Amino acid sequence: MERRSRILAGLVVGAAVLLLADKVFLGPYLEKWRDLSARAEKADQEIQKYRTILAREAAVRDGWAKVKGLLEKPRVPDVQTHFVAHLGEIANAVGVNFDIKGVREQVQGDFKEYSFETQFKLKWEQLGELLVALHNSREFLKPARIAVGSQYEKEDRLDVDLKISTIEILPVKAR
Amino acid sequence: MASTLTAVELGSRVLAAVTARGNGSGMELLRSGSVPIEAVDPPNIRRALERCGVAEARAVVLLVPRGQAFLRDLELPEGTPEELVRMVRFQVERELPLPLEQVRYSFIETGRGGGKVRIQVSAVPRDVLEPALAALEGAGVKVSGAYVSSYGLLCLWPDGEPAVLVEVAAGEAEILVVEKGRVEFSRTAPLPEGPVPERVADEVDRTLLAFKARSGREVLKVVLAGEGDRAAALARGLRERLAREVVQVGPGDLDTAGTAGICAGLFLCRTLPDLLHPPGVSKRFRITPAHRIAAGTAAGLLAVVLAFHLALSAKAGALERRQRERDALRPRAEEIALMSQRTTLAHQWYRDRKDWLRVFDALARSIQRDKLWLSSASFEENGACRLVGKAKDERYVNDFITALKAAEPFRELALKIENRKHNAKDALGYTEDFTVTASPAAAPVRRKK
Repeated sequence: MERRSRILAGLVVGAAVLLLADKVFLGPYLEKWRDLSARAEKADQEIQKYRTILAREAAVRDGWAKVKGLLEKPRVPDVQTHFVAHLGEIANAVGVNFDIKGVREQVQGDFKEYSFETQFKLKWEQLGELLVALHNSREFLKPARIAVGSQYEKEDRLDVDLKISTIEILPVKAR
Repeated sequence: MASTLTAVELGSRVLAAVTARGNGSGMELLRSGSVPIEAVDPPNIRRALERCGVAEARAVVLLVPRGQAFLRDLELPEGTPEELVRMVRFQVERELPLPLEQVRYSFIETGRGGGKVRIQVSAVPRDVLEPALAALEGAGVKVSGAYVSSYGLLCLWPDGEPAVLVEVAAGEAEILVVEKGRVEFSRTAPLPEGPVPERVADEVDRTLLAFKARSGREVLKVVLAGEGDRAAALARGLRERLAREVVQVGPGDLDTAGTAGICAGLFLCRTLPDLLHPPGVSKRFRITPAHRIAAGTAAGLLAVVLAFHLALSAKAGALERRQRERDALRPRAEEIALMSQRTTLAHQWYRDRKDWLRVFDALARSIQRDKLWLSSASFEENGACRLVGKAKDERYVNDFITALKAAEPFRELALKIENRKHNAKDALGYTEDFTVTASPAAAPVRRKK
């Protein structure tokens, strides 16, 4: 075999050996390395996330303690009745008659939500007062939908549909 | 070396056997005997070994009588062991009367000086050695080595003082002239009438004359191999006949002294030419540049593999530590996250509920009351709303929309006018009916650049 052929054969064999080494040795190692790196990065991200969460631990526990304290306040005889009574107080204060058309219950996370559909007529001023009263209520209360209807030149008679919700914490066995 | 050793000298008519035990400084003869045999075959050998009291031996060294062997002294140029092996082979091929493939030979170095090496070769024809080996093996005895009987005799006189060593056994006399522990001259002579002092003395005389003629040196001392009465009587007779100093050496008697001598030599770890294990050419490994390159490459690859392994191990270890840390943090973090989620959800009903007053306030500010009025408005919790109304002119509707878009609660919503209708017959002049929807879902409207 002449010199040129020998050199070319050597190059081919060298390239084949390199390719084989890459496939057999380097490839699996690099794959494993990448896998470990990815897992380490994911673990780092999770650790960072957990640390961030835990950095607020005291504040979160404090906040939850307050919320839990409020949620666990005695409400007589039960949440629904208690809340209807509270709405009644607000309506009386504003001077409107609530007409509760229906109540719906659903579970949201660790809570049970009660939604009340109400319908009533009132004046503009009373609507404002009602909204203020609802906003300032210390109960767990949330207006979920308001529809207001009026007639021209009869703005003192507004037809209001109000959907209003409250929650109670679910007992552990019900979650 | 085993603590006990059995040597068997196997002649054509006599078998002599010795079992000895090494005791550190020398050896102790345990059993010995010499018996005639009818033929060299396994049954005869077995019987002879039993009669010699060494039947329990499982491994022996074999002594081939001097008369059946060739001894040659060679003087060769100094060289490496491999070169010596090759030179000896070449010389043996020339010196022996038999073709090389018909003999088994071994050699030892007996001296060195002046750029020369003195070699003593012992060789035995295969047709002598191999039947003896086969007969012993057939008798259930393993042969671990084979020596010419002269070396047994030589081992009895290890001091190096020049002497004539004489062994009289199995109907022949073996006579060696030794000096400095090496055989200078040797011969055997048949003694058909037995160990008669006159006859033995004559053979010793002949040997001394032959040695003097060849080397020009005189040897004064005669050493008779063997102890006991028979040996003592022979020694006295030799002394009278030769008028020289005759000493006896043991252990063993006249018949077994040479056999015992090989045991003594092996216990003292003397180098003896073993016919079964001759010095060979050991292929010596030489490190060449190619070996170095290959070794370097292999070491490099090994280092790379090792480095990768170490790096991977370190990384896996670090990952494990992180995962342990993560697993330790996770339960508390999940508890806190859940607590936070519950608190947030609860606050939607309590602290962060939607501020409807601001919505109504913005709406009131956006309406020109004498030009536009709303017949109904509905608002959802997510911010979506639907406003239905009338206006005196189309431009008031547009003004209303523009004002709404500028108002803060509606700024993030997508406002859309639907069901726009012109009603020229309206008695109060509110000719433009419209419906406006505001939707948070469509809010992120981006203008194309």
